[in-house]
Amino acid sequence: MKKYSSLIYLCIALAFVSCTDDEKDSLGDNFDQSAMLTNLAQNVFLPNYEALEEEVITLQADWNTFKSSKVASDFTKMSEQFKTAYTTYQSINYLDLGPAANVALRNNFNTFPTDTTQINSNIQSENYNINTLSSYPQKGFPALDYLFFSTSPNQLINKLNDANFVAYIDALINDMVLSAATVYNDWNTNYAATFSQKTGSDIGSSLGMLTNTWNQHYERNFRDGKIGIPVGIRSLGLPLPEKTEAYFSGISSDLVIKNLEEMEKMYLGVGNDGINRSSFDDYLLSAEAAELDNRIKNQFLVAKTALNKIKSGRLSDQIVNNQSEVEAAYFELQKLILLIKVELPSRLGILITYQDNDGD
Amino acid sequence: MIINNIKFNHLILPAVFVFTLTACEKDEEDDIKPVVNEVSTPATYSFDRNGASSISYSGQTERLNQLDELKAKLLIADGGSQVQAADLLAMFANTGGNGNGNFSFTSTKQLEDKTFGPDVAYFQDYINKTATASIDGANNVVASNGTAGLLTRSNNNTILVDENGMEFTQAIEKGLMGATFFYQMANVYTTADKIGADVNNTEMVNGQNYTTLEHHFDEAFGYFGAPVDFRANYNGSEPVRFWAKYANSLEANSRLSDPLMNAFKKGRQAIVENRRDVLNEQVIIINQQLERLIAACSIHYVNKSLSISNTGDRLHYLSELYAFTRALRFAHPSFRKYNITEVDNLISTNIGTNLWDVTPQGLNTLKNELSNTYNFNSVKDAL
Repeated sequence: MKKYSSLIYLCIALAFVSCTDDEKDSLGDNFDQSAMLTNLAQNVFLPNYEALEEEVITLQADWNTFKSSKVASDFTKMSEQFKTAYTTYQSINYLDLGPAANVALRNNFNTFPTDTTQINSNIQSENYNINTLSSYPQKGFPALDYLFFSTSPNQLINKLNDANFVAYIDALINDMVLSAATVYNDWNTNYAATFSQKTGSDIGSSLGMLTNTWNQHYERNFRDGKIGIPVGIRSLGLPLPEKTEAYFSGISSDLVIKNLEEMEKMYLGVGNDGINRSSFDDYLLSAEAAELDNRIKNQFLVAKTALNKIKSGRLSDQIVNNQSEVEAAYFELQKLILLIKVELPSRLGILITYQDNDGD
Repeated sequence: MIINNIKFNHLILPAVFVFTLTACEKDEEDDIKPVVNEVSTPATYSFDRNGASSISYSGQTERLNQLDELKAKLLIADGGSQVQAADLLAMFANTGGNGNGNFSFTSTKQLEDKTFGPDVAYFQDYINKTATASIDGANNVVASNGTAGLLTRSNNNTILVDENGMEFTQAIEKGLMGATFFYQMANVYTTADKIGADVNNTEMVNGQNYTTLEHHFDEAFGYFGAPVDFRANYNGSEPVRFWAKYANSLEANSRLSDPLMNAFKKGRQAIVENRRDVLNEQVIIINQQLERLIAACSIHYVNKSLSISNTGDRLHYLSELYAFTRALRFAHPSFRKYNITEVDNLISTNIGTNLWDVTPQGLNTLKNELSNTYNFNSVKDAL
């Protein structure tokens, strides 16, 4: 009797175990995806979002000081903080998922070239709404870039007497503080956990979404937006320097290099504390793709070298005066795309879906 | 007593084991347990009588073709050329059997008289506005908030939008998908009037190989736009169109293609076996899942609108969002989650009339509302 009972319970247990959905880890490998996602959430994304919020808040403080003191040294301090904040933004701009997607963070923070005509019209008329989707070209870093750096510091100080001008900048920076705070808070209070738990490699998994958003950013906003379109890839070779990121402040090269470095750190799993933990490179190693991992790491280095070659002065000038070197950098950026958009997803069983047409 | 106990104990283990296994099986349609008189789901939407097909929905196919050609004409306006309202209106009403010469084929059917009556004027109005704006398009007027004209998308194609940023092609094409095709499926061909208890399922319709009930149900299927072997057995030859095309493109996260196809196939099989009870069950599924499909399209276009940077692309996506959400108006009153007023409120509160003024907050509220109502929370960000 007793033997029968335990056998019954054992069989029931086995039957249920064999029936559970194996939605997770359909690759069937030994890689601890959960550890990778947790590492990225806790050590890469969260600290970077927190840093962005802090830097934008500091920028707001420096602007407040400058707008009332109207002295050149406060402008210098504020412009340094502008550069710091814009650079920090490059550490999360590729993460168009979760809280950042909900507030359309990239579109709100960094739509360029900015619409200088509309901005001036907004300031003059006092009649504007920067909360709409169509206001993207009138706000964010590119708008501040124009408002702070299109004139000399002394001319800017004169403009501080225009209450409309000051009010517009107040509104822009306030909007950025709110967005940065919302995104960080959402990640901190619940999305980090959500992100870490959605294992697997299907379309709705964290890995699926991260790979797609990273690639989409790399292709459109990084390779094309920062280098390709300005150097003339889409205009039959005619350079369009005014389409450069940070066109007025001229810090474009720093931003593009920083963006590349931050994406590489994400690939390696290097946290804000500098420690290298689990991420894509480890996943590839686990999938016996060490050779691909090496090629990716190597191409990151080659791309960085090419960008460093065109770093001096302003990128908008390099594009005109040194076009072939900028084009060469573009092609090195392009080579990395083949690795991270085609080979990497293929090895890890991830589908790239952002290219699908919209069923039009 | 002892003998009875031994027999019982010998039976427990296998009985429990079998019970546990069957309890774990996935809920895959009808092949769980053999039930007497269960209606099976055919592999494809193919039904014969006396060696010949009993299916007929050519009228619906012709209307799908008409919408294809009407859209092609609208794309000419998108490209920056002028179009005439008279041509577009003639295509909508199929004047003279061939859209007054604008259609490549002749048909006795039309879109206009199958469109939800109160909305016919809405579409005629958009058609007239398209023609007017196409003059601006031909003059290369660039659209802005308050000004109709052209916008350039990231692929360098242009679209023609009205002063509120609405792309005419989407307002009309996706609008008619809702007000004509979905309306006919939900509020005509799956209602008692067409497939109710008193609709004949015995005699052949005069000169045809089908009963009235069979034909009416085929007509519902015809508006869906799916090939007969869609989706599980699809061999790629017939085109996947309109609603079926969207079910297909959103399949990974919404998984609606096969539930819809299976409900159509099983419903049609139920008619063959004169099982009206099973037919009615499938009608519920069809209507519920079509509504979910519309919601999935809306959520998809919220996501696309939020993430895209190019203005032309964004207004294109917002126009689709608007038109798809509006399609919820035409859901079957017995099954719909929102009535017409509520749908209009969803739109006016969260999208508004001017697509240039849409906010992320509005879009997210709409997305979360639809996701909660239609059970897409686990996939809403990926749709």
